[in-house]
Amino acid sequence: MTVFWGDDLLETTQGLDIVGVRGIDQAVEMSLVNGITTISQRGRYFSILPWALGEFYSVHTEDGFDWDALIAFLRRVEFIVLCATVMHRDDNGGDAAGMLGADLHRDLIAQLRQGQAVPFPQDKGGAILNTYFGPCRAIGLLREGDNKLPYQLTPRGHDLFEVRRHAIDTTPIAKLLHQGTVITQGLARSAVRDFSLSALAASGEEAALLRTAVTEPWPEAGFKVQSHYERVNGTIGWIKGLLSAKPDTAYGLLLRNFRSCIAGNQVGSIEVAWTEYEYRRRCHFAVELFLAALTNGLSGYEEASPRQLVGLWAEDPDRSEALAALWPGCVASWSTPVREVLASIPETLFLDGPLPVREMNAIPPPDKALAAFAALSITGRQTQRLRSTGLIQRNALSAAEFMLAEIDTDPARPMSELLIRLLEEAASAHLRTTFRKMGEGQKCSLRLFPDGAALRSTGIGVSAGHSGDRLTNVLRILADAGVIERINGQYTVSTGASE
Amino acid sequence: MKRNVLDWLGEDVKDATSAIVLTHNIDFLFLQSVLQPLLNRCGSPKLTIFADAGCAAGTYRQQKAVLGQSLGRQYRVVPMDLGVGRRFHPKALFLSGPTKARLAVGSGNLTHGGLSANREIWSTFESNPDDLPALAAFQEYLFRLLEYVPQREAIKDEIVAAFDPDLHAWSAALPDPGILFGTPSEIPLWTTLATLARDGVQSITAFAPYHDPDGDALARIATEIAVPLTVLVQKDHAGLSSPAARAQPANVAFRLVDALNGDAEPKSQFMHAKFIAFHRSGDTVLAAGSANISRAALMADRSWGNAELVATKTISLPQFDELIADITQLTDAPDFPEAPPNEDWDVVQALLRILAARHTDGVLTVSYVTAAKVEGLVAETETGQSLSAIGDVRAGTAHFAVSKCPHSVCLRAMGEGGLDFRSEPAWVDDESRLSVPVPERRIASKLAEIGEAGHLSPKALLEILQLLDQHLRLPIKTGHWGNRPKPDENKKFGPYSTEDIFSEEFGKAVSSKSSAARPTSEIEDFLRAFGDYFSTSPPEEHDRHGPLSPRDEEEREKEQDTTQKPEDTDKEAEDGPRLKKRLLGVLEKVAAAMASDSFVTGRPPERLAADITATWLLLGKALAEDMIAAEDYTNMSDRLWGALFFGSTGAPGAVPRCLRSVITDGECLNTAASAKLSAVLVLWSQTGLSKSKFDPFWREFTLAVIASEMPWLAEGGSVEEITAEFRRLLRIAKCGIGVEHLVAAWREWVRASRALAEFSQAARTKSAQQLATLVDTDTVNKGDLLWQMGQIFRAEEWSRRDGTKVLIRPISGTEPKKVLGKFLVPIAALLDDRNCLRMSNPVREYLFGLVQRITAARHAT
Repeated sequence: MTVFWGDDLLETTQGLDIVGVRGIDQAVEMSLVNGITTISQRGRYFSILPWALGEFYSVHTEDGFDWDALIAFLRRVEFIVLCATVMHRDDNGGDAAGMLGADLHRDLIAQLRQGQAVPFPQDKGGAILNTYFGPCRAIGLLREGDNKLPYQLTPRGHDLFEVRRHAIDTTPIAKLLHQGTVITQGLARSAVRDFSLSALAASGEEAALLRTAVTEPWPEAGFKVQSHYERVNGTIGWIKGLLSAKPDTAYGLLLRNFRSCIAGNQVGSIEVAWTEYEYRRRCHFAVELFLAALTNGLSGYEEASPRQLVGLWAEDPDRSEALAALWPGCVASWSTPVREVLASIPETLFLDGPLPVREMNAIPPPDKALAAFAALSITGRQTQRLRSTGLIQRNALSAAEFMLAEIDTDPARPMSELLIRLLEEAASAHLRTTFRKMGEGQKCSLRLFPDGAALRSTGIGVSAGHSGDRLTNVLRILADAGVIERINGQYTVSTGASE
Repeated sequence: MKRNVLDWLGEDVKDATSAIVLTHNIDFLFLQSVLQPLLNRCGSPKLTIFADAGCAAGTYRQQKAVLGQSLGRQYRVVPMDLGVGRRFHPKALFLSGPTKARLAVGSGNLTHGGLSANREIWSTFESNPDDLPALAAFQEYLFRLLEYVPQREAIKDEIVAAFDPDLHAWSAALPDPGILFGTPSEIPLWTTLATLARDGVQSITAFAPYHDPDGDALARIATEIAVPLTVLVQKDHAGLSSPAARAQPANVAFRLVDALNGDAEPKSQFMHAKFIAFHRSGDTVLAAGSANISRAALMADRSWGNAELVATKTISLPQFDELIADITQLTDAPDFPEAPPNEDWDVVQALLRILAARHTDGVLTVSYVTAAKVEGLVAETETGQSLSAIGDVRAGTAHFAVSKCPHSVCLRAMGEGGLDFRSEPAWVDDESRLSVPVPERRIASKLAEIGEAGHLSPKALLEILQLLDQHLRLPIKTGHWGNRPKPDENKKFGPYSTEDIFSEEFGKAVSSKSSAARPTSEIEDFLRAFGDYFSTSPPEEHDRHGPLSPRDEEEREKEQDTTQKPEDTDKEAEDGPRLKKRLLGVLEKVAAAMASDSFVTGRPPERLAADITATWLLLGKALAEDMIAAEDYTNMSDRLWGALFFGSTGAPGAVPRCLRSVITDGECLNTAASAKLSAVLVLWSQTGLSKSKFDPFWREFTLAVIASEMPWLAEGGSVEEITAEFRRLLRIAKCGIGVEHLVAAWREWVRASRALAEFSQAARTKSAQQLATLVDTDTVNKGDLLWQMGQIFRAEEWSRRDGTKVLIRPISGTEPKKVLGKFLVPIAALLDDRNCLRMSNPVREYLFGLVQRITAARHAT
């Protein structure tokens, strides 16, 4: 017999999708961007990875595939890309966003910028393979191999490899990659043309091959791949169409598209798909804001039920200025019928700009709950036509859609009763999602948990947000490849851009 | 010392067969999402949970909309109702396997707080000699709890199974119970503990998050053992009211403590542990478990108070100091609230309350309590179906006839003055699903694991086959042959008439609407099909609990600071030949299991069909993935068919041997029919069997003979149902055969078996002598089929004029017989145009043609 105190089942983590709605909007966006992920940010890595694998295989595979040697080589490649991109930025203002290893090698890069020769890192980095293999596979540059060569170049990946090898073999970088021990500013500058993330567009044939890979399925591609290309080409056309009207950011494009679609303008499937994405992101924010209200509210008590919390909130009639500024008619009385509260929400709420995420996260818990209600119900109302006509289809797993149905259920009931139900659903969605992840062995991101009839806070706060989009990465990759241009943080279709 | 109790429980356990949990509060979501996956990794044991009825009802009320379908299907929750004001409060986790058992007794409920977040205390035991008294005490305690369980037979079986000495070596010689003490009991828990500590107690340290409102129990402890008593009080969580604290005897002192967790930013954990430590001159008797310092927990006898469970241990003073060192001692004085906290749900006052609802063999039995006289009891299911009670409604138990088990039910009744009473909904235990044996559960769990991995490795296939072998050796408890519920009234299929079978239209392949199924991967297709077939229950609809989705993409991405080496497949490749050998070895065992009488008689037709299909699918998958050679596939098919149908070495196959006599009357025939079984038999017979061993005509004829005696084998469903089954099977079995071909093969099987049945019936109306006189031929040729003594025999070459006895062999594989040559009756001679048996012409002509083809084929070989 042993006696011990109980301990946590799993380590804790902040988690990314704590109410199970993020995955829904992520799925919509993923279907539109053909393999580009939230962390595959730069176009040049798409050509560097196939080349690096080809280069490694051409030198290192005589004695069989050596995993450790591959990783060591990829770390060197990744470091040269980092150094060259930093030099390019310092010398010419090149875009250095999305560099792999920037944080890991911060100290070495600082030394390099001070003019010191820095050694190649031995034991850190190498994320390029996991980060870009999937995206490269999606555009037909790489494919999974076998035990001998786990990652293989496709014909178009091989073409890209040859073009880069032809360019690099005559430079000092070729030797540096395999045998060098240190890298200097001079060497880094000499690598800018072939390794800087912001020098791809100028690379001619390499950029052209990448543009082809991004926009054209390979000859033997099946139906599924072709449909992915159709979707991404639709997205590229949609981007160009909106940018031809005015330069914009990714969020600007999303907002303009959302407004246009809900206004009933003639739209195609791509426009509707990106509207659905924005609709689901807004729902995502609203559901997380409900959870934030609940979690923040619970933190003041040992335990409480949503009913008890709302009862306490109802005793305070004051609303924050931030909320009142957005929604002048926000409830003064918690017993007001839902119908009247709904009528007081401005029709154009959150249509003028980005969602005020930071402001809404800073207001007190009862105001958060009301803001979440306003955001969700107005988003529901704004997209009502698209949803009722089936252009945006119901997702039975979405807590947001369950909540929207709940809002419509009994408009005569007091606002407090509805809020209790919505908070209960937010808690339930959080528990369903987080327990499921825990059951799969992921870390614990619980914010609260039931203890009898009440909920207890775990002490970890909730900052409501919405998904980091892939559209930003699509724009950056298109700009890297010379399809569009990036000027002062906005994107535009310039006359010089390649088709 | 801190440790997670679930980690401890499941560490290195792969073969658990039973899991039993005792808890006060229960969080179904946590249970399904966290505990169940953990238990699946431990061998998918059968899970039985005893929970306080009020708490379980409260959580069910809150969570039922998102619970999905597994409550009452994949695991059992037994609501424990001890009576008004009494709580079921013990907390324990028990895992039982063939070679070892583990038991944790403590303070944590089946919630995230109890099993992870709170500071709980656990006493843990394993199946070693020192701990066996605790396991014996736990077994005894479980049986004691049964007294409070309505409809307790199935639960009793589960307890018995968990400790079955035939299956659990550690349980073979359990000693007298000890170490654990539980209530309800004639002797109050405090009396037991005080007696255990005996004399020499110099001081006491105690902690509990809750006390009785007046602090009576604490005062009594301090009075009965008048030594310094230190009560630990958690900061911000004092469990005693200020007036109660002030009223304590002078030897009671309070010390403020906290439980901090985490090194960098320590956070306070809610201390939910409960213990009393009796310090003596050289040691400490520690009593830890579920009991708060309350009258209901410590002072109650059998007639009142809570159910509690406490473990006791004598430890050294340093050991106690080490334990208590994980509690932070604070210097401030405790701050007691004016009103004591309450840990419980608000009691829902209901005039009609369900205690248990269980569904067995088409009958829903509901146990209930009512505070008023009621009549006109009606059960309402979650689909709105209203059921009237059948038979006597006695002593709080009512029965309702309903073929499909509902997920939840509530009761309605009329009370005095026309009042309409309605209970809260309660879940229904589906006994047929809950009794699914462990190997079957493990296969389901393994399938889910393969689904997540996205590919079927040879090792995984081997593991499934090993589980299948275990499964085939176990009889299925419910729905046995001859003991099955009446067929669904809506079932379209009825027995075919002979006219139907021999009509032109019979057995034309039915076209089906093509469904726009989403494209799926091959492994998904296989797993879905295998899962669908292996489960004899209809697939459940998706629920709001969500799909088993892969890890969120971004969370996966975030972890990729560096590239991870992919799974090493080299070893798997090297092990290929050895795995193949093992695969074939397990397949041999599967064939041996199928050849046993218990396999055939121990399962209902759906299960028989499912198991045959599952075996065939796995065999086919092994071939498709090059895990076995085509020759292995054919050999193994022959082996399995021989075992099941054709028999060998003088004995018939298991199906005719065992079931010929079981299925007799018309009703049984109808309930035994299974479209799945008929379809898979046709498909497998068309694809797998070697021509050398079973030539096509002989194979079909033998099958027809078997089906002539057991028509339900062939006539398993309507043409539509059979066709649909073929379509389903062909979606996963790329065997190059079309639906039309299979439907035609099935049609011929049905016709041949019906024709043989009619022939047999007609022939049996005549004596052997009468039949012999109807034959006008003098010789019998080798390969001719004979009708003798009500059976079909194979002939050697004989003269019918011979007066001596000749040896003939029955095609059923049973022992050869001797018959006088003049009584030899070639079947073909009874079926020629003379129609001497007066059979209907289409049937006679069909059978005559078939016999001619068979005879010709036999002559040719």
